[in-house]
Amino acid sequence: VKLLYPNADEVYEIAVREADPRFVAAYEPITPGPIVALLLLACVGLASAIYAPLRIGRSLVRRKNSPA
Amino acid sequence: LSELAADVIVVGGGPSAVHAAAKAVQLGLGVVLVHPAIEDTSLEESVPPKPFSELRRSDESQARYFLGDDLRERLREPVKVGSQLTPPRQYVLRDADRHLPIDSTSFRPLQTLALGGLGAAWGGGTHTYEDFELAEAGIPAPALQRHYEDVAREIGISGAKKDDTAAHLLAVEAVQPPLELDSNGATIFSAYGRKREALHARGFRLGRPPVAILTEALSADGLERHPNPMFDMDFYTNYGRSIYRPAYTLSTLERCGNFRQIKNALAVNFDESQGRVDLTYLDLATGRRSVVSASRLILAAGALNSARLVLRSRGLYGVRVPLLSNAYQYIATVNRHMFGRPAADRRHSSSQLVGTLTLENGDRLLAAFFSYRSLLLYRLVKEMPTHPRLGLLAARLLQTSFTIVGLHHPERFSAGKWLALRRVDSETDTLTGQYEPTADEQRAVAENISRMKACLWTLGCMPLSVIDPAPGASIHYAGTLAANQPSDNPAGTSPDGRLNLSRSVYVADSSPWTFLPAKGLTLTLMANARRVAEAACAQLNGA
Repeated sequence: VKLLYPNADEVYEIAVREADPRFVAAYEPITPGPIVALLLLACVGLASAIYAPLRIGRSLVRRKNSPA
Repeated sequence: LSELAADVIVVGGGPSAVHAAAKAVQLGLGVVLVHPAIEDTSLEESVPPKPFSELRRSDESQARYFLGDDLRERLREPVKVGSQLTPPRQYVLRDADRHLPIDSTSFRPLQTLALGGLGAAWGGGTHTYEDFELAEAGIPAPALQRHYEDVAREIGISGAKKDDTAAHLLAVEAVQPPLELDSNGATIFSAYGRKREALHARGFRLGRPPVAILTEALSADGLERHPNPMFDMDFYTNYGRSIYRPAYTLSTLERCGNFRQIKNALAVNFDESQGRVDLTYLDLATGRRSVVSASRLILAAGALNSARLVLRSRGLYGVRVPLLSNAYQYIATVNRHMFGRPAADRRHSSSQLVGTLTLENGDRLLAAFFSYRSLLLYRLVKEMPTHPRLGLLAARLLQTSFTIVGLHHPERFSAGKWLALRRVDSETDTLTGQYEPTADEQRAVAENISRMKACLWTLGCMPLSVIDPAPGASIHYAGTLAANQPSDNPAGTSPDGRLNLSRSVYVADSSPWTFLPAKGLTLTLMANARRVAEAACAQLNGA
């Protein structure tokens, strides 16, 4: 499961964009009401599950290629 | 070595120390405060005085104070106590590991050399202990009450005097009106109103948190403080001095002719002879050692470092002293009443609500409810096991309803929780220690978490996960020079705070306490420091 979590570089990239006022809209809360929000959250969960094997694979490759 | 003389020396710069010093100054004695006083407000002062939402949309230099210059390095490090501090507050950790070493794999406390001690980054929670809690902690309740009142008047406390938790948490008269609830807090409080009877039957009560955050202006001794501006920037700045900091008390003391302070100074050891006590301190700027001498020494450097000083001064290397530190977890929840709904920007960043859960034995658990707004989303994305873009989307969907509940548990002594001082070489030593609760204690904590989660469900806050940081994360420490030791134990204290086998040394922080209720301890630290200082000064000329 650890391999699914964002690594430091990925989090850093998100953080730097977040603290740039040009991208503020991409970090605003999404508030379409509870039902639509729940559907959207379910979609995020589904997409995460589908993407998980690829993400684990990439993390393993990155780990293998990184200096010990 | 150089020598200075005073009536009273106070060691430390945090809430206990400044209030002990304030009481001694008030009694007319000559007081010297010895403290490291590291201060760096440059980043905080660079924050424009505007609301969080406005800064996010307009300030091109916001990365400096929201992220800091070393975020990439910090993200690569393992999470440790203090990681939650925002960049303008990170300075409170500076040099603490070097000068206050502690070697333990099971206990990770937060220590500081900052001006104002841990009070420099304090969230403002001000709870009074109830009489049964004071009795178990070894603090005489009747003697403490007037000091509670004095401190409350000086620091400024806001809260609700008549809500369901007030009887458990707020036994003082001088109270300003409570802070406004934010959108998230308001819906949780409203749900509590609807489910009140069912929650009361389980022992749960919810109320407005008493906090040292002003809702009305407060002016004292030339220091002007202002109501919280509701900018949601309280994790980054001290706009209008709305949240009390010990540095404010220090700034008023500086105007008193009978008060001096030695800054950049780390107390090394003390030596008592012929009714006087000599304190040796290290000048952190020059590396030189100097001595200050007085009739009384009041140790208020925090439970860990007052113990360090006593153990070193008395040569008690390898001697185990007991340790108290509240167990603490964060419960990440989603408030279903706010899920998918917009929230107002006007808010403060401190806890919105406080819950108490009374157990069968009379103990109370304490839950502080925080809305997740101004700490930025990248911290949430980091905790989501998915691609960061998907994590960001989930964080944006959850943001207005995301509620962190900080859960504190009461804490008592047990054999697996201790500290000792170990000599490294002839010049240096380090604290070592262990924090291993018994199986019964661990079971009680697990049961407490389950009971609190059930109450959260009833409130509409759906628990997602329980984050259990390393022991020490509660930042509540006590018991290291306990008042329940035999009177010939050199690492024990008497009920008035006097160190055993001493005539001149008193301990005014939480080191003597024999119990830690689940509540915030800072208000009691300040009030008790005044009580101990009064006892320490009682027989001195001029007092």
